[in-house]
Amino acid sequence: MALPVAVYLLLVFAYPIAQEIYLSFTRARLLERTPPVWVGLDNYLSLAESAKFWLVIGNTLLYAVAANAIIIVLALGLALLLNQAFHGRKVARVVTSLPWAFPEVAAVLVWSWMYNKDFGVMNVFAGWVPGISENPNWLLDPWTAWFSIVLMTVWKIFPFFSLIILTALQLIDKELYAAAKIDGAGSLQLFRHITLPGIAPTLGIMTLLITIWGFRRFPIIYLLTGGGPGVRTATLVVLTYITAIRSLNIGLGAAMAIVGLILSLLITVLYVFVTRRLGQAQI
Amino acid sequence: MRTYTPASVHKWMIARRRAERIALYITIVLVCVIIVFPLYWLVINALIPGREVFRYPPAFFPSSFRLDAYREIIELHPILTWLKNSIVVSAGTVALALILEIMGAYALSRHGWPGRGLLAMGLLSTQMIPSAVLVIPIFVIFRQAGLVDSHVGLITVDTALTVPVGVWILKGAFDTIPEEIADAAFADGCTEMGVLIRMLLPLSLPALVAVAVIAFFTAWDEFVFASVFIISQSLRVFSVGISTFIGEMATPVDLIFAAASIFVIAPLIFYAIVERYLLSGLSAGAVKG
Amino acid sequence: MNDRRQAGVSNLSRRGFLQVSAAGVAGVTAGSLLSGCAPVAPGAAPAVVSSEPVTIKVMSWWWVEKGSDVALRNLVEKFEAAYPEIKVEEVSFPSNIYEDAQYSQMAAGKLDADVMHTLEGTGIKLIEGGFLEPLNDVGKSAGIWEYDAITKIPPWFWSDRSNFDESPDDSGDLYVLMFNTAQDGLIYNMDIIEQAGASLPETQDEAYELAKELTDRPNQFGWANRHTVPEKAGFFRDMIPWLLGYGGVYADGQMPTVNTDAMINTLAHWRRMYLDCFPQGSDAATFRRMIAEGKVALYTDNNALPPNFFNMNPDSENFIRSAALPWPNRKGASFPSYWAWPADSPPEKKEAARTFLEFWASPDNFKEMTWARKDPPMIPQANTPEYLDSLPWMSGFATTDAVPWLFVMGGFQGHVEEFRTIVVEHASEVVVGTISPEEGAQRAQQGLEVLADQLFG
Repeated sequence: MALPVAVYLLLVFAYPIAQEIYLSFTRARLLERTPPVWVGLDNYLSLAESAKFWLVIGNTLLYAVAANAIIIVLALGLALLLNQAFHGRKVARVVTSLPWAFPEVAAVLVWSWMYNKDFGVMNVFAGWVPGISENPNWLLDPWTAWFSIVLMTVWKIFPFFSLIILTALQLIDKELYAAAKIDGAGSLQLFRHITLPGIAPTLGIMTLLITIWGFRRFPIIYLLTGGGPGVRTATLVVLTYITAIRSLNIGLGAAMAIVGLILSLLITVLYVFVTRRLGQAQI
Repeated sequence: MRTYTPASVHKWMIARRRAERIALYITIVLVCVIIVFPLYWLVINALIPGREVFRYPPAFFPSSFRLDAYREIIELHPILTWLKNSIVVSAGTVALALILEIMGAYALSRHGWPGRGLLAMGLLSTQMIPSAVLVIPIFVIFRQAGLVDSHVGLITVDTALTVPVGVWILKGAFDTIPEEIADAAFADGCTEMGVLIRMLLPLSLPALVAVAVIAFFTAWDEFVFASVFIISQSLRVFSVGISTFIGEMATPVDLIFAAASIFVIAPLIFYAIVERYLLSGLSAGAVKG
Repeated sequence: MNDRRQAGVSNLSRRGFLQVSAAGVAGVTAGSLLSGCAPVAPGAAPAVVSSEPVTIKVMSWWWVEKGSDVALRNLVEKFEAAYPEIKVEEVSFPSNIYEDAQYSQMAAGKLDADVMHTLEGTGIKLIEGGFLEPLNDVGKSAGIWEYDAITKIPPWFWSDRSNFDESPDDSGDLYVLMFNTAQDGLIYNMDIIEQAGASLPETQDEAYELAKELTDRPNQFGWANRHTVPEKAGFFRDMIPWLLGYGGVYADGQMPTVNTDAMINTLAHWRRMYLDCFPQGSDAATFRRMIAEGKVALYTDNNALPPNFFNMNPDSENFIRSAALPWPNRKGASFPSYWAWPADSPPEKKEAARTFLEFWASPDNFKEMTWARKDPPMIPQANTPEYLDSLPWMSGFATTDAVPWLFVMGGFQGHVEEFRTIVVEHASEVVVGTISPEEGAQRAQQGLEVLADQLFG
């Protein structure tokens, strides 16, 4: 039964991944007549020496941690909210899933327009914050650019995540709550001792997936800031794309892709280790 | 110091509950407004006349509208063809993905065979390679296999993108179904396939719907492969079609916004129909100790 | 205004052009293959007589380019009426992914077109990959061989540059046909300039002073050009006339020259314009709408833009005008695009494609396309007083001392994408002020020298 899936994925992914690994040890340029030249670890060594690369690794971790932390907290909050019984619950669920269904290309267009320094509506909202007297340069000042990217990422991703948490919430045995209430548990205790353990496995695997997806999330950053100014808002996947596809340096780009793969694998191993410890292992 | 009579405590509790309800509704409305605002802004900016766009501060409730943009995209652009193609590709992806996911999840869930962990990790690691890096090598293979410029080729790739996540969710769903149910069925003389079709699938129907939704959305929004793999205009899907409005000289933002609001309708309808199943489905998959 | 009567694309002579770009790419040779792929060897195609109509795939971004799509489709309709045995199938990718699509097809070893519209940089890649068939015969039989449409095609599209001279007959194989061209000028809002009682700037400093004076954010902006990383190609492209204005180029032969005074001046000029005059962070889609709505006073771009403004806002035809570029040497770039003839399409399609190209290049049709698109005339038949008089906004572009833009790339003509990625990475930092123009120029130069080392050993 496992065979079709394995064969299918091998057919689609094995050659590209194997080719990436091979290319990462070569000097190769896309669309070039000369075949790749084996250079051993040169590409990896030049990455290790490159200040730009380390800046981008830092960016990647910052983005993955900041965006995912906010996504998890907000998604949990929204899921708890939508888990309440109220009129129009179905409507609220469909409405809150809108960003997920929305095409990325158009979403980036409207967000860039909202972030326009002279005409963007975000300036109006920023004006409500005490201490901000001037329109922020939303996408060109490195720090506000990060803020802008993270905000849009959260908006686009968290509804999906919250729906998954919501489904986990609904499966928790309602009798557990009733019993705990009789024992005089407060709502915070209910959350800590019943809700959180109930959704922990879901939170775990989804956090892992969303972290991995965070490493390879591409259009939002690429279309919003292009990783600029300079490479100050570039994550690893943006730099990989710029290097391998736009600069046609597929040898070096492949090395970056492999570093990203290793980074993701490390996080997966960490996840497996932690969940084994907690007795919730799924792998 | 006041003394509380039972009646006043009761009244106070009712008032408190009412306040909580009101707070709940206010929060929900507020959250919905924040989430929907960018989309509201998009529609508004598609509808107001050009000159109004460059007004600051912008009007939150514009006074004049025009529907030119909608008229133009429907009359002058093959929106319906894009819609049809996107539905074909998304539906095909859902069908192919479901078959593979069911088999994969069953294998991962039911058998203590060696290499299970390897497959599980392999599935996850396919999620780690950015699409942009995969495009050219896959294009080269597909060209040789004659899969370029066909919906079949695009379905093949979109399925590969969504299968790993789907297998994980379905595996979780199968895991929640006690072994005894299957054992009893085997005792009654059912084959493995029979158990899968008669027992596991009906019991995990919600999870199946959930992975179907994820597959549908993935294929619907996929752009990187669709932009390179589809060459004929008659086969173009919506996510690429919408980007054809981005021109060399001018980008008619109103047209893109109008098209985007049409683009979003199909997945939303699909989602609204299956929402009921999706909710218990995703959880059945994900919740498993 | 007599000079606008001869508004040809380039004021540079054929020989003069060769002299300034002497250190360019090595002569283009056909037959060099992309590793692992083997396009069918060019050969005489036997004419296949068949009653079935032949369908040829014509690949262009114009099919989905507003305004241009109508012009192209009209001509194709006329073609199909004249040659009922040939059908044209539209193959289109929008301009923002067009070159990516070409790259993917090249990487896969086969072009999905019998006739292909291409930009200059990718055109060179196509030739280097051995994907194209020479077009000399088409140019000759169509009857435009002696005109600008052929003679102004830069040397890198010919196989024999040793004899590249006043006559195209001595230049070997020609691998492209001119599709259209556009050239730089100063585009301005006549109403704003007149209301301010200002005169048009003639130097960079005058341009800055005037633009600054005319800036009143967010009601009016003195200047607008591209300056962000997501618009990397546009940013790099917009800098070209400014760089030429300071007497610079991006590279001299295989040596990048982005640490020169000319480049530092360009970056510094861009920085001050950004600071005091630009709508900061606005992309071309946004600021071009602003120009059409009369909110921007001045900017540099090519002659293809004004008709787009008129599309967006018909009123703008009354106030959009062009003038000489605001620097003493009047240097700017021209931006041609080309038809290419893929070598590996089957013989009968190739013949039909040749018929299509001959039809396109015949003076009557060439004129029709020029007029429909409001392009600068590249053949004398299109260059009539009536035509130019109908375009009051056109005159400024003709005063430009224009070179095909790839000229500024020196020996990096086949490597524009890599080159501009590095330049814009650093220029974008200079613009927002995180590093100085000198430092940005220095860093870009270092990056490019590494690239040169990789490319040329």
